[in-house]
Amino acid sequence: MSRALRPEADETELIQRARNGDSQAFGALVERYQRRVVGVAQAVVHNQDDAIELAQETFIRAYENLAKFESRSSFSTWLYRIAANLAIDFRRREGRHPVLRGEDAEAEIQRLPSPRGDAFRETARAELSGRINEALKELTPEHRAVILLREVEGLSYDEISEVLQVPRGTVMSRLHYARGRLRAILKDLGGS
Amino acid sequence: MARCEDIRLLLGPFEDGELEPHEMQEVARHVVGCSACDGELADYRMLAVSLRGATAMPDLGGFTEAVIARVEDLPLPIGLRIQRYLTSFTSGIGATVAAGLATAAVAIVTAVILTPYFRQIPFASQPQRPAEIARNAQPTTKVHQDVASNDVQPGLPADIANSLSPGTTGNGIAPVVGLPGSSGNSGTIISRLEADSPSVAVWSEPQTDTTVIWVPDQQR
Repeated sequence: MSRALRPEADETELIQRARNGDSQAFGALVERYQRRVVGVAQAVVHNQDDAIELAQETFIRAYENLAKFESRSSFSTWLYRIAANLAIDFRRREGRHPVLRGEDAEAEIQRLPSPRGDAFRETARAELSGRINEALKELTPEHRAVILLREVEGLSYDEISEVLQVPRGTVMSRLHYARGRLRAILKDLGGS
Repeated sequence: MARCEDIRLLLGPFEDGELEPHEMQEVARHVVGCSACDGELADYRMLAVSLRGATAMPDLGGFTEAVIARVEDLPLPIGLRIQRYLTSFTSGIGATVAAGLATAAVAIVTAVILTPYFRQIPFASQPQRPAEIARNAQPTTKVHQDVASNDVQPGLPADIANSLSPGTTGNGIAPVVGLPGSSGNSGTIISRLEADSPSVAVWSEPQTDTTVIWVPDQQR
């Protein structure tokens, strides 16, 4: 029987309890990191359904390998690295070009949560989302992953470097390129 | 003033707060006086906001439950299974076994204490009177070679003492015990000695397997 969990239960304690087979403690860790793990996967594969499946797989792998987790890196970074590796493998295995095309892109845009507001704001939001997604399609998976991890998930350069297992300098150069490219694409889209 | 080409490489890290303090100051000073770089920085900010707004987070309702369900279907790692088995053994069967062992130990100790064997344990022996020592020592006493050669017979205390202690020293210690094949006789002698002379002391020396009878020097 597992003890009741405090909402702010210490991460180390949760990990230790999860190692001892306490699924409730592991559930607390899942609850804590699920959004960002999905975000990391989504940054790489750029597909929500695939990202959710990969995130689930990430947590299963993490649970199976909890005994191997050493506190050299933070638990979150360790999770994100598993998610990124799974997503990269998935992308290679499936041979998918991880960008949205045609109807898929439209469907993705339609699935965006609709904030309450007037019709004009709704249209503007959908239009902006469409333009952003169009621009993202133009990037390579590597550049897209880096900029989404930075701008959407808020990872630091060091975290991105660790998650994607590339040097920090590579992270900086990819970000510089991706930003410049997106800026140019969005200006072109805005002008057309 | 730094060139724009150099500063542009640093605009992104500047916006992300990933530069060294001196680089942050350098970029900040440049941007204040350079509208092109300031505009590019503003574009980066707008881009970040747009990306966050456009990237939808899927509904994660039921996600945790789905993961937990899969986790609970997984076979436990072998180490954890052994640990759990040992834990249950200790808390269940182990407790019963431990209680049984404790009860058995108490029973054994009680039985030993209540039997004569316990008295043979040196630390458990109570101080005994000289006569008891002599009696207890009788079955194992041996006849001193010098004494054995004497034909000791019951008699007057002085005679007995003399007959028992041909090698009596000045301090009155006579290394004498029993008689060959007739331990009952030695007991009789000791009893008589004790009865006739209260100052007679008898003790045993386990190291030499000898019972010592101390008789005070006779008044001649």
